Amino acid sequence: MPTPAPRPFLERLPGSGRSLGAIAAGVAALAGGLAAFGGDVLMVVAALAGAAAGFVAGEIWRGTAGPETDATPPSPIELPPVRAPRPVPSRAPELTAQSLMDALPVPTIIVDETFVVRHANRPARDVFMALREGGPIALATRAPEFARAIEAVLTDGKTERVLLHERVPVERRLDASLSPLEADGGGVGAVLIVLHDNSERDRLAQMRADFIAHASHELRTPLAALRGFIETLQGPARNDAVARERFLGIMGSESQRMSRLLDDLLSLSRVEMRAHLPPTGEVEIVETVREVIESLAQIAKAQGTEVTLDAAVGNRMIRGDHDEIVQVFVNLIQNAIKYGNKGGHVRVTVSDIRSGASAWVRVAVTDDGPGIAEEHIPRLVERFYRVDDKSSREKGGTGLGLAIVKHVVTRHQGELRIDSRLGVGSTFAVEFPLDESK
Amino acid sequence: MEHTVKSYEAELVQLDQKLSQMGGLVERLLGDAFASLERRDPRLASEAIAADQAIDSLQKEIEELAISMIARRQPMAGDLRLIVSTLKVAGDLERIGDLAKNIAKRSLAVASESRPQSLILGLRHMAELAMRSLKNVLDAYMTRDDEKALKVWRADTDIDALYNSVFRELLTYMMEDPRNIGLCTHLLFGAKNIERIGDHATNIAETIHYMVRGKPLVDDRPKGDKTSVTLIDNDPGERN
Repeated sequence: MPTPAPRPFLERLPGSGRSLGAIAAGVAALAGGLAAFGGDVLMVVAALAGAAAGFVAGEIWRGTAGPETDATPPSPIELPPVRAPRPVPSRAPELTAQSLMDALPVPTIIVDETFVVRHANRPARDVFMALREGGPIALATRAPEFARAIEAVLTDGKTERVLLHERVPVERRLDASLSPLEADGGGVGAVLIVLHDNSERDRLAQMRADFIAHASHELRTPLAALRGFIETLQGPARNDAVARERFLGIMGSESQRMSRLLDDLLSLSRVEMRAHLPPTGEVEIVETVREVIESLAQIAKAQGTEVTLDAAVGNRMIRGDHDEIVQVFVNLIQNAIKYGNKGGHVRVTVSDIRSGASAWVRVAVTDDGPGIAEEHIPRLVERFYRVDDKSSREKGGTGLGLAIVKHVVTRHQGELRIDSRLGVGSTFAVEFPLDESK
Repeated sequence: MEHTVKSYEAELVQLDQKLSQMGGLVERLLGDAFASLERRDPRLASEAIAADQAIDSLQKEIEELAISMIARRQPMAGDLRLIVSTLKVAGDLERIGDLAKNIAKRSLAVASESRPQSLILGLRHMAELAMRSLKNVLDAYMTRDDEKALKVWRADTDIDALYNSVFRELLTYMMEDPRNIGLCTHLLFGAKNIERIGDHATNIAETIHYMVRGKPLVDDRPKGDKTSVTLIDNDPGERN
């Protein structure tokens, strides 16, 4: 096989003070490189470097013996002599390069001289989903300057720093510091890579710009309508009771739409902000769907629509953000009620699917509405894309509901599938990978 | 790192590394090319156009290495499939590079045209799908992951469906206002290029399947491009 057999690079480390010393030196070297990243990261790394160095010197886990206490001069009050604390045997696990790296809160990767990943801590695997130990570093990123930097560290033994700009699956900017790790026989045996994610900072700036652009553009129309009605009410229709009633009704619904639009823009911004961070919580799907359906009962009743839940499975846990998942189901079911037929039927189905070795849970929302023409289907998740502008506005749509769904689903490593036939109805299905540890 | 050829194994690893390097360059080129179109950035476009040379020369290196390996080592079965597959994948990557370069060139041509931002949204969506397919199929290649490759293979219908939709949208803009024709034609070709890039990613997926399984994919490739038979009625009621 072309993939080289993993060399026991790390396995050598635990017993070997020399190699650990090299790691400590590498971490210490990084501390310098990380200075620009900000204070707390620097401190953590510096502390770890100290810890590793201390371990090599055989000091920190055993405690230090204090000065001799036998020669204490007699004191007026008899007190038991002060003794140095007895050395406590360490209960700490054996310190390995792995445990050191796993303790680091920043994404950290070790790559050997054949560009194979020897170790990647949890934050690193969260950043690069495809990354795996024993696999090529190219699974993390194939950015040309990254490979060049690794090569430079391996040849020159100097530290390198690269800025990475990833575009898929989510856009992010990473600042990578690369330092040499000394091999047993001298020379550079591996490269220690520490990453700092700058996406959030850049994204914030981008998000503000987008938010203002969209808000000002989308709010302009309803605002103009409101002003028009107000002017009419102040002028020609001042004493027209019938027109006043009608105009106030329209003004009410327009202003409601404006506030919904702002809500949706804010949710979308929030979701986009976190797009590069994997969700940390746990969500049980079936119960969540049930709760959402109950919360929408009023809206369904007003439309005369019946919403039924068909859950053929028991509890299904996924790794996810509860509020975001709730919003996905709210948006999908609300859409089905809104765009389905009045007095129609919305069916929500929860089922298991298997894809190769992985298990997924699928939630499908099916309506018996008019359906969506084929050419619109792939575009529905684009923000402000509307199949029918007029009908969407009448129904209070903001053009953002499915964009939010798509973003949440992507952040959760899931899939959104849309199936629709004109005159028959539409099915919007979301699929999430199950948390296999549950 | 100096790649002194030590063994057959080392040569196979080297072949993989070169292909991964080439993949990285193509991914970067595609991303930059589309970004230059979206942000009207002529400098980025020129960089992208220049980057295509490195891709071409890597392809030549891969070809030379692969051919010399076949001649000297006379590989059998899996190894032979691997080497031949690398050749094919390198060919597809080179084509993707060319198509991406073409997008960058078009972005130079339309940099000064005014345009509504909404026109580029559909294209952006297409480009995202294509970049994702390219990344996934290259990951699948590195890990010999047949299943992941098949996912990319199936996902190509999404790009095709999007292309059909963007095609209709751009045609409608052109009919609405003839002043849009210049810009929209360039965008239309850009969309076609992205659609073709999706097809090449599908080719790579097929190659991976052959490499891993030893037999070709028998199904017909999912095809969803209907634009060759699309006409739009000049009916003002059509636009929403």
